[in-house]
Amino acid sequence: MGRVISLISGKGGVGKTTITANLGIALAKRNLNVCLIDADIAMANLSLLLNMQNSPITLHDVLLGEANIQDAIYDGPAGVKFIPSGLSLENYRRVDSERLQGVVDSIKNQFDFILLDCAAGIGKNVMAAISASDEILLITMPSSPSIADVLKAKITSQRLGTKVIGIMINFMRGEKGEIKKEDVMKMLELPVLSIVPFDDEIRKSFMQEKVMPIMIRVPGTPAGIAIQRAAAKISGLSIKIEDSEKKGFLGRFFNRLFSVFKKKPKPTEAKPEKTKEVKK
Amino acid sequence: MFKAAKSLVKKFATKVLDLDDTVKPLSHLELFEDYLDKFEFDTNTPDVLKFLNILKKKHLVDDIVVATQNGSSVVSTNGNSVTTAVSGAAMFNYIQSEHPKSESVMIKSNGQWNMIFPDKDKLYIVKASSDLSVTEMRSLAKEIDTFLETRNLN
Repeated sequence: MGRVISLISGKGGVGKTTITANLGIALAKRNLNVCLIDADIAMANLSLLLNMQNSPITLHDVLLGEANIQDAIYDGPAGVKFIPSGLSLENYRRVDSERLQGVVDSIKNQFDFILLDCAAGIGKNVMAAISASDEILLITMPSSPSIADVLKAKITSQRLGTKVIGIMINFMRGEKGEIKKEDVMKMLELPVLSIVPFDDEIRKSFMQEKVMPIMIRVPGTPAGIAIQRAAAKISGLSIKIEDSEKKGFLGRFFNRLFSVFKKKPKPTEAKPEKTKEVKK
Repeated sequence: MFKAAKSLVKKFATKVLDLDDTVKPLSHLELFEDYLDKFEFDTNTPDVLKFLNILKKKHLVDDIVVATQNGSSVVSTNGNSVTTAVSGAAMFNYIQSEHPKSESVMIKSNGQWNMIFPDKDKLYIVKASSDLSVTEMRSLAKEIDTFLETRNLN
């Protein structure tokens, strides 16, 4: 049986989708069987980050009872499997998110990890995702509005009887006014699994010709390393951190110098192909 | 390389010139510290009435009545449990006969929600000032069922 983990934050814009995509890829790179589900039924955009926005069958179709879940599982980057949510507003209005638990249960034994990228807030859709999960991972920024919302998200998870395993602090810049790791741990009474520093490479993820998460594009950036650390803690596996940036000053200098003459390589492209084989 | 040098100079200048004028919002932190305590609910009690009253606060509801499908009251937080159980079961059975796949019945009356949710062989009749989703009703029912089962009060 796989572990089902929902990533929630309460507040929007804290980086849930980015962390879900990159954490899933980091786990998949460790030969774990990972499935990402875009559980943000209303404002789905995980498919955009994975560059898989043209998937014909989505979670919407499954929740509407119009498609089989196996037909909505696609091959994503680095061996990760992906279940997208539809972008249609019309279907969103018809979808019954309370069916999510049954859908997740039906594929639980196919994967080591199922990660659910949830919506902001603590509305009906988020509660359905929390209820369908075994564990919750809270995502927050080191600022008080984000902490206030994540507190409510923790309370909601506890109310629904789902265990909260820890917190990831995103967008840490190292400023004096930021709420520190120790304060977050004390307030939320939970371990901090990783601190993801503010990293321009994450912002740039959506600004490429072929949009791709940093774990594929530049896994050795500070944010990439922090996400890999979180993956190691969650999976309990000791892992080798992929650190493509770890070169000496001269190494980096010559690399940059030669890269001017090199033809730019095309980034890895994930095709929204249908999964043909389903591992049990 | 230019970017790295620029970042280094910027960090150095920020430190030396003390450009970081941000301050930790201590008043917010104090507020948050007590916040979680208000939502800590210890449901570990042998007393069924005490347990239901804790659940009322935990799930933000006003009243809970647990009844059998034929209208007998099992446990409740109010004095009219027999009447509520009988009328709740009658209403649910009627709706069920008209709509056999009903998952819950929700009625808004006088600004209050009256919700009937079947789970296993029981009916959970809940009153609250806001409506609960099926997910919330299910988790409430699960907690009560586990309590009743462990104490053989079914």
